[in-house]
Amino acid sequence: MPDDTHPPDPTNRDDPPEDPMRRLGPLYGPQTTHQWEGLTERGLRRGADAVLAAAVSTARLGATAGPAASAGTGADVGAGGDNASGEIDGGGVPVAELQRRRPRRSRPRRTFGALGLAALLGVGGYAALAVQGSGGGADSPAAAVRQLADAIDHEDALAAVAVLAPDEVRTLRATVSKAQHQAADTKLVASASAPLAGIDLSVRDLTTTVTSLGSGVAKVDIRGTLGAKVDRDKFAEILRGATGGHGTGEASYDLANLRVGGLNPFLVTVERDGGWYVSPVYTAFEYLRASAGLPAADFGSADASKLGADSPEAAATELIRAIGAGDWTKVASLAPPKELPLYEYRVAFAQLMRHNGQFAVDKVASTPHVDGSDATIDVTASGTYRATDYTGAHVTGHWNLEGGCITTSTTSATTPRGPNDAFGWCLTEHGTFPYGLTGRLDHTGPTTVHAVQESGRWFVSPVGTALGYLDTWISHVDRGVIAAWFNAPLESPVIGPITLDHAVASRSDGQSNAAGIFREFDHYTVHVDGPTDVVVDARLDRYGYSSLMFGVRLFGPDGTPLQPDATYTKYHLPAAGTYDVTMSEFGTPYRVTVWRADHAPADVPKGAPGCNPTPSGGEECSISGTTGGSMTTVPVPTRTPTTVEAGSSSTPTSVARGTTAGK
Amino acid sequence: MLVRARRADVGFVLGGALLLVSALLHWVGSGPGSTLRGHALIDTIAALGHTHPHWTTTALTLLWYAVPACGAFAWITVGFGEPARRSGHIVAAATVAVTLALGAYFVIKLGLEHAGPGLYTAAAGATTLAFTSFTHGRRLTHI
Repeated sequence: MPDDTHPPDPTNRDDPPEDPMRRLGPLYGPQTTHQWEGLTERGLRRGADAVLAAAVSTARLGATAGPAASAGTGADVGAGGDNASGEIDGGGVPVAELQRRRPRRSRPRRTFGALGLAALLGVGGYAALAVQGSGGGADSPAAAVRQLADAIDHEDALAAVAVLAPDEVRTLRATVSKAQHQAADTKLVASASAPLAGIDLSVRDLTTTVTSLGSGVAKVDIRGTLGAKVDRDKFAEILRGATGGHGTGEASYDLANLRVGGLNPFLVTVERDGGWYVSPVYTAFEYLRASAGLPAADFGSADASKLGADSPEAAATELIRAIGAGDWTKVASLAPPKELPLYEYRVAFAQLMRHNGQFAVDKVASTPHVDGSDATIDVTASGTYRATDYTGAHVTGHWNLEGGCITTSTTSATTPRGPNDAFGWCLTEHGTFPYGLTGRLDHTGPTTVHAVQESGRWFVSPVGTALGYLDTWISHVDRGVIAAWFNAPLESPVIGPITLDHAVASRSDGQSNAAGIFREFDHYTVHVDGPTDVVVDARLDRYGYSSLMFGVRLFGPDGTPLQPDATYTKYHLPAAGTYDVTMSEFGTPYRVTVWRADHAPADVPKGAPGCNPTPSGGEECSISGTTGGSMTTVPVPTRTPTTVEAGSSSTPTSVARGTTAGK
Repeated sequence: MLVRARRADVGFVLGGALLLVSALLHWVGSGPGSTLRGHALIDTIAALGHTHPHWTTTALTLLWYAVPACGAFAWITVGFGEPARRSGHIVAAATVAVTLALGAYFVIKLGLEHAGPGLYTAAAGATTLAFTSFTHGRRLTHI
């Protein structure tokens, strides 16, 4: 034990190093000093730092091993892990200090803990906003347009949707999604997730000029260059064929040279929940208004709680009556403000519609089907209107809303009303186009109208109504429709084989494809065992007699189109094999027979050159020079072949050859 | 032992940072959604599904936000817990589960070829947490 009064001499190697207990002695008294001395005499002599470090390690190990181990840690501290002396209990100074220090964290660790808490709060806040669907939008009108341009530049449909006005997009979302998947199912595009594969759009040098139109509405004039590169090799097969095969193409357009309705290009943006979005509807309305020189919109005037109707059926009924009465402000008030800002444009709308004729509503029937804030209403309505016939005399016109069609017909002494004396428009659920013309009156069933509830009031949704039909139409788009769009008859599904000398009947119900914009094909096959001359006998059944149907095409086994002779009916099939026969649908029932040339009756209706007698005893001649695809009919006497169901390969019971039966 | 505990801390700090940063990266590499960073992508999907809420949209939103939340929890564990002990194990296991589920969703929906850097960063973060938590934790118990 060194003498406390004798200072250590560092040069004297016999002097032990200064014991830290000497300095602690005056602080803790003789008892504590004695304990420290006891500790330092055990094991190797170490400095205080080494002792404390060993104590910290032992304390941690004790904590890892559990409370029982920790209880003994205090005794081990002084021993440095060598031995438990039992001289220092839990109340000893070193142990008490270590146990209090263990939970204390270093400053960096505490900082990360605090940052983690802050990050957690931030993430939670964003997640809550996202679940509520209130995220999105841009910081300014110009930023919204730039985001849209960026999305176009990267062919990122989702990003484009993200910057479009949410209320307008929600209506379209299901339709766009359905169209994407239907396009993939029908192999119009290679993948539903990449519908624009092969098309590289670009927007370059975009500049914007923002003009406020009102509270939360801003017009953004745009300048820049639109570009497009096309790589046909990445197209789906049918699209590649329709666009000229393989290869690439490139084009660009300077927006400065673009005029839409005589106006420079612009987009209208709207503010929703603090974010700015591009509004296709406001943009379209603003173009229409400005190009027609109509009054400005009254932005912010559409308070949904003061517009609309009490119920869905009331909304539909009031809308029809308001249209009939020419009350365009009322009509505008029944359009949902969020979806279609017609009420804000009501002055311009009324001015635009003021020349439209009025009509009387005799009968309106509506049956609602409410689902929360959405409803569908089955509506039928009819009435009259004033019209003039071809002589200029006033007649009573009848209008009818039924089966998705609005039809009109007139009644006078000279023009009695019949089933085929109507004219109108239909929203169609089948065919090559979602709407079309109709010449028939016998449409039946209700027209389905969509309604939505906003601020407790009910509004008729024109967009929802149109999209309701469009969704159904899209779901019916098949390869036959795609083939019609691209005039690719061989892409149309094969209905079935035609047996030589046996007739088949068309599938047409006489109502499809009323618009006549794209014509679907009926696709059959015919097999021959060797070189054969055939005559295609295709007849339309309408107007009380049969006539030659054009639009018939024959293709060789390799897909090469075969050319008919001058009569447009006779073909030479050069070798054995299966040939394709396609016919354009005209919405009129027909019958077709592929005769062996030496079996064909003499009265097979022929194309040019030549004329055929009409049932009234006259003669009607065809137009020459067409090779199919056009509809030139030549009334001819008809015969009655045995018909089989379309697509059936069964052998008919008999074929009446050489008999003629004029109707 | 101190070195190993410190490694676990560093691993959790790094893994947490990767998970947090993944929220700011693109989760879709090409095609629809490729120009949207993680949170914007999910916000858009959630906003589009808001009119007709579907449990899958809500679940996807919550699952996606759970990734950066796991990063935040990793940092909290560094500050107030022990990355190499039970609290760290729980955070690491939850992170791996969330990231795996979300990764599977994106890969199934988009294909691996369309996966963006956000997905890979989140996967790296989850792997870092799991590795540092479980490997170092096991060694500590043997000392």
